Amino acid sequence: MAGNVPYKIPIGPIHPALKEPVHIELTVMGEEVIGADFTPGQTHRGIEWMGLSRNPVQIVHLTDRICGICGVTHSLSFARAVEQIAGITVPERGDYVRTIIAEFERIQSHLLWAGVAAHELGFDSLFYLAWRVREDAMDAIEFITGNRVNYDIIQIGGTRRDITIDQYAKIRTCLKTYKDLFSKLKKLFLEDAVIKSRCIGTGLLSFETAMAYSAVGPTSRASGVTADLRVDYPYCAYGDLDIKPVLPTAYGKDVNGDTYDRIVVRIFEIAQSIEIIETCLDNMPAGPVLWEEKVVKILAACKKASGEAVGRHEAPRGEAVHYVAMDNADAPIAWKVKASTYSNAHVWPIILKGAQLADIPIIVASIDPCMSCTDRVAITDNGSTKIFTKEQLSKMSYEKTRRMLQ
Amino acid sequence: MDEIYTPAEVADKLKASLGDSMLDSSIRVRAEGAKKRENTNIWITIRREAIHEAAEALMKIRYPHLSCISGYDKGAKDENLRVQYIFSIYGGIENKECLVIFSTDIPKANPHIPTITDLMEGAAFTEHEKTEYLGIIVDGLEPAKHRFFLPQDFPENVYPLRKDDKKIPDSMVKNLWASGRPENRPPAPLGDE
Repeated sequence: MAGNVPYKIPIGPIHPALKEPVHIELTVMGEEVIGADFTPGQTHRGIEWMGLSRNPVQIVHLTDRICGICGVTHSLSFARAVEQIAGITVPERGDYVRTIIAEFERIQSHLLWAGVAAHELGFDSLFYLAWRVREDAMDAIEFITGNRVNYDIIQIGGTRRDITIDQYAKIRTCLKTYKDLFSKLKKLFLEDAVIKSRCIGTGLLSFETAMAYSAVGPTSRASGVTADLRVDYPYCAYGDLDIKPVLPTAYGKDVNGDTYDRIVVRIFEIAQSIEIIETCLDNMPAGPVLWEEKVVKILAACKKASGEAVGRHEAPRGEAVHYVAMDNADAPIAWKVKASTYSNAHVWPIILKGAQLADIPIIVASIDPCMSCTDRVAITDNGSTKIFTKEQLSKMSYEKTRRMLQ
Repeated sequence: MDEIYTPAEVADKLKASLGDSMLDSSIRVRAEGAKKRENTNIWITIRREAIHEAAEALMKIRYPHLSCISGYDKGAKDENLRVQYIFSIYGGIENKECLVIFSTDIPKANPHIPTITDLMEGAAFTEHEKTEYLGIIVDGLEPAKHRFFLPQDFPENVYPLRKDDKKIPDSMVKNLWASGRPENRPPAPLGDE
């Protein structure tokens, strides 16, 4: 390939195993990225449009299927919006069950991400370890809700299942496993020389850019933004807890806003989630978990409601927002879903600029996109096209790690 | 650090900046959990002409977080679209974050809004979304090289969230129920009763 000509490299859009494909187009000069553009919306499913012909209880189950990892995020945000419009008060115990399941979701989501990050770096033994220990959280979620994914535990006005006292012991065992594992996770992800050399200083996102682009979640906290809805905007049981946002300073380091800082924030948030679940289990209020057991009555209350509201939740990847407007009818007149990646994906063009080709997989993955689609890459040079497969691109990333080990 | 105003003071300050362009405002408080700690939302209706001014006035109080701009079609027979600028201020300060939502009507006959990307460059993404889903024209926004939300081969002049004659035509809707039940399936292996 000739030296200085800028090449356009399209990455994506489709990998059959990924639920949310994205197309990224990079302009490269040699190995260096000088410009980046991205096109999401490759598999637009029209979920908001479908919602406009369904009633709120049907939509709650539809929201569960927006994302395969954030099963509770969207249903919780949507339910909170509808509850505000219809004036429904969730029983206290319902708030606690919602919080517990949301935090288990954070644990499994962060571990899933940690595994993907290790894989993108070519550190597959760590990938297997992270995904193996993630299974404990998945088992706990299945134990509480009956399902590994698509939990369907949220209902308008509370949750569809309670956590009974005889279930506490098993949940505490799961939490203890993670507590015992934490120092090992911390050592493996944060003290490893290769992870450090690959991640420190790459994919930089400054505090100013994070603010100007309204980035959310661990991506923004790694850049020093202290925003965390659980702390700033109390909802569910989070207002009862004494929690602080996790910044890279949790690991006793300065804020850089690089890929490494994003790993630090997520690893320490796992520890925070364990504590939150423990505190919630210790302080569970007695009583029902659902405002009204009969679905017909929930629907009747929704049908009588009119007005608009915003439901928010701090998902594993950051703020999720659902805007709902209702007007005395079965179906809402408006429903807008803002997922966390919506606020984070548009910083890709910025953090990719100046990166090396082999660092792209880890930088793209570092915001924990709900899509991670280095599926195939085609380099086009005046009509002659060379296709890189996902495997080849990953191989470049692995080889860089190997070179560093020598 | 700048002074932190109460939600009522924030609403008053915005009223002072916007004057008659601010049509109404209401403060809604929600309390959840056992301790019932409150979170606050300020809902403000403004005139369409004041969108940029409102964002600017909010920025003078505190640099805001823009969750997104949402919007909907008020109905097939209604002449207006409605959009909501969902901002929040005081994010990052414990128990102080407050949503500030500016709503405004936009006539379908002249669906123009000004861009706020000169104030917050990150707003471009969500402004493009309003163009793709509702056909709102954002004045001053750098045109996109491609669509961000809809497939690139999506037909022109069709906007998925519109309810009037620009809505998704029936020919684009695939009803799963209409595909019918598969025929010639072998009987289910239920065994003998």
